[in-house]
Amino acid sequence: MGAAAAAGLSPREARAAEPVLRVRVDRNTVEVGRPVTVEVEVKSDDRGRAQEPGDPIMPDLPGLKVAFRSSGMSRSMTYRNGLMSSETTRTFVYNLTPLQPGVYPLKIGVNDGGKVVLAKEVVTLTAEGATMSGAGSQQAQAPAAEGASPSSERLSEEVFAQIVTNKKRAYVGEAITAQWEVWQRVTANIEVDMLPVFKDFYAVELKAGEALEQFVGGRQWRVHPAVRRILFPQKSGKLRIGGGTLTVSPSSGFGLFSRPRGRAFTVRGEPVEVEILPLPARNQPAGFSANNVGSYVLSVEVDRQDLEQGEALTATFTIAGDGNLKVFDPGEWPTPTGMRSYPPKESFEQRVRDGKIYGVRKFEVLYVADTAGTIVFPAKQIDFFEPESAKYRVSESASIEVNVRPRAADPSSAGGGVVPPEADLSRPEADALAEQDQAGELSPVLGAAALERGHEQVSWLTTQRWKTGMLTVPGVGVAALSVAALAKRMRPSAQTIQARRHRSQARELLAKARAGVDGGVEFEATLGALVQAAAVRKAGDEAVGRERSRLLDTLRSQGCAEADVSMVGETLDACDAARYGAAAREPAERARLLRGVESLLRSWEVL
Amino acid sequence: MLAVVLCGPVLGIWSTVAGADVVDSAYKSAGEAAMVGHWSEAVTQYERARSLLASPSAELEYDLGTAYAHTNELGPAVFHLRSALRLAGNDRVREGARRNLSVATRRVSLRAEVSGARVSMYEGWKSRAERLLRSQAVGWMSLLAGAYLAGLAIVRVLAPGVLRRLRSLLLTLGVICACLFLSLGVTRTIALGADPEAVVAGERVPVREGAGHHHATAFHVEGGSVVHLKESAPGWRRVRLDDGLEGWISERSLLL
Repeated sequence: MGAAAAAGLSPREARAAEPVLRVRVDRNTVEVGRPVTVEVEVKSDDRGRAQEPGDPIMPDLPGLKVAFRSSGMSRSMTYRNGLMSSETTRTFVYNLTPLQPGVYPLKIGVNDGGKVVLAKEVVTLTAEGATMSGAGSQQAQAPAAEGASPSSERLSEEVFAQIVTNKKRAYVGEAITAQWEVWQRVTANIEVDMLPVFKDFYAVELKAGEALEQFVGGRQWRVHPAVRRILFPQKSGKLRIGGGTLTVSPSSGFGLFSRPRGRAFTVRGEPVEVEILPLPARNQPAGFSANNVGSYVLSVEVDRQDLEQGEALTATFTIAGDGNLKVFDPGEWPTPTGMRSYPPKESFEQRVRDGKIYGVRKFEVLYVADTAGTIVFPAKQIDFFEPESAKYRVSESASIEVNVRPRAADPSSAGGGVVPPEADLSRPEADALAEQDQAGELSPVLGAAALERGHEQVSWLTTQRWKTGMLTVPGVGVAALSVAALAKRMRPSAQTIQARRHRSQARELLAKARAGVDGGVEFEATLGALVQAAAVRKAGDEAVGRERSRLLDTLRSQGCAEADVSMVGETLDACDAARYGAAAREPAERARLLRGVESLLRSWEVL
Repeated sequence: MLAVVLCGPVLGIWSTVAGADVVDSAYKSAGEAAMVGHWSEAVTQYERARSLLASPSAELEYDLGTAYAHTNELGPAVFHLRSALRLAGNDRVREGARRNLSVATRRVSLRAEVSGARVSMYEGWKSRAERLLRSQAVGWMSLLAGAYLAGLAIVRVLAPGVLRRLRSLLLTLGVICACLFLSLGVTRTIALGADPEAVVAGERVPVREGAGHHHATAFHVEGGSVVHLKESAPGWRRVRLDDGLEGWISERSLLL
């Protein structure tokens, strides 16, 4: 007890906590040859630690290539309860490239003072697809791959190109994946002068992959998969794939800061030979097409199994599988007794997955049932050569029974009854139908003895007339507005109108005064009114309603001649005197007075 | 000289009559050939009559289109039946042309379905709207609206008192007419300026990516399709199908 207590209380050697590893991958499943980014985070507590843990120990798995990309470090410090603690996090990024299919458990650890600490969680990486060959296989055991690794001579160069194939030996028509890789270990501008030549191969272009970083021969290389194709050899023998040519201009720096370094040089890719075997003659079916190489399945389905005599059905034959399906020769399609068939409508889809080419080819054959009864579609066989097993195989569709009912007796229903869905018609059938409806559907020709003339209803409203009319409307509007504006502008002003009115009134009064010269009737009154009005107008608005002396003063102040003012005053006085009988005048005197007034009014422009 | 002056009108009248006789003769022969089912001969004679006829005839277009439909030359059939409808002959012609055109277009669709070629026959809302705007009714409506506005402007100048008395009524009508005038005027102008149409002749005509046989074939269009003409190059026309696809067709494959 005491010992235990002593042990419990005795001072221990300060020991740092174990580092913690966290492994992250950007994806768990990948195609063979494609890189996966792995991030290893090593978190360690700095307390009591004499030295930091080492770099991650990556798994050394056959078929898995590891390339280091980058690393980073961060440190965090915490102050809590008077204690300072710090933690260091180091992050390492790697590219893992599987070179053969399989499941790769990524057991990653770090060396912590002589002890290997593993990540608690083991991440697995699944690689799918065909085994890769070539330089990248140096770490991998790729049994199926026969591609050559870059030779030491090649690896001594700064830039080189090579063809990598997944097979060095194949049968005629068998798919071979070929990739043209450009390797570089220096910064350079690389231009492709000539692509590899795939003579004697039927080639299907694949999407070129992304550039990879590889550590080979003690050096870091950047590998560009420039061209990737699936090749189908068209003849047997040793076929050659040309190596292509590059122009390399070494440079230093990147982007805008890139500068040429040394002279440009040409790099020629080394051609690759592939041995193509002829298809075996043994067990080869009669009339076998050399294009039928691959692995295929044939199936058939019909759109209906119960139809009336004369009706059509569509049988869809589907061939699916991997291989060069586009050139696959399916042979003749069966035509069961009691039916007639038309040339098939064909559709084809192709896709590439895991370096293999898959396709689905459909043949839609239109059959028209000529006879009633049960008609059996016989099984259809396709022969193909399977390279994997090096054997000839057969795929057979199921046989299908179709029930054909006798045609309805009513002949009038024949036109509608025999019409298959339009989408399923083949050309002869469409023409046949067209012939059928010639008699019934089309309205007959007129068949007149002479052609009627002049009955065509030609519309008066032609486009030109309509446009003219539409343009006329704004024209009329503008013209009307212009006229209105002009009229407004030309109309006399209120002042002018008033002046005219006054002038007219003055003339009337003058005429009346003239008339009264001889008889004296209302002569003075009229003349007085005339002179008074003229004087007021001459004096202006301020003279309105004023007494005579003021009126005369105003006239003077307006600049009227004194003689005129005196005449006004005298005339008005004389008129007043005469009106009140103070002084009777003779006609001659009235005439003189009138002349004087007339002369005054003219000088004032009242008349 | 006198003989020429006197004989001139006589010869002119004679030549017109002779021309009419030739046209009628060809037309009659075509009708007789059609009656006994010799459609190729009927087409030849109808075409002859058409080439001799000075002005287009709805009856002749209808008969020719029908004869072409019988010979399964659907491009010319659609073209002539459409012409017959456009020329608007008598009721019998209109009815027959409409019916035969629908038969021909159905066959074109059928043929396109079988051959895998594209077809451009179904009118979308745009085509219908354009046709409506191009119609006489819309033309007259816009013109009448414009005439009202013009009248209003004249009344305002000549008899402003009338305008003052019926101010609210006239102005309301004026606003309506102005809206009609502007909207119909603009849209009808656009519709009248729309791309002209043509009918594709032949069967499964290749539509190329450029003007020339050396250009790749973008797709095929079935004869009888109605396409819009967009652009022209010597011997070639750039066309647009109703679904918006465009390409170049040899002029020889188009009926304009």
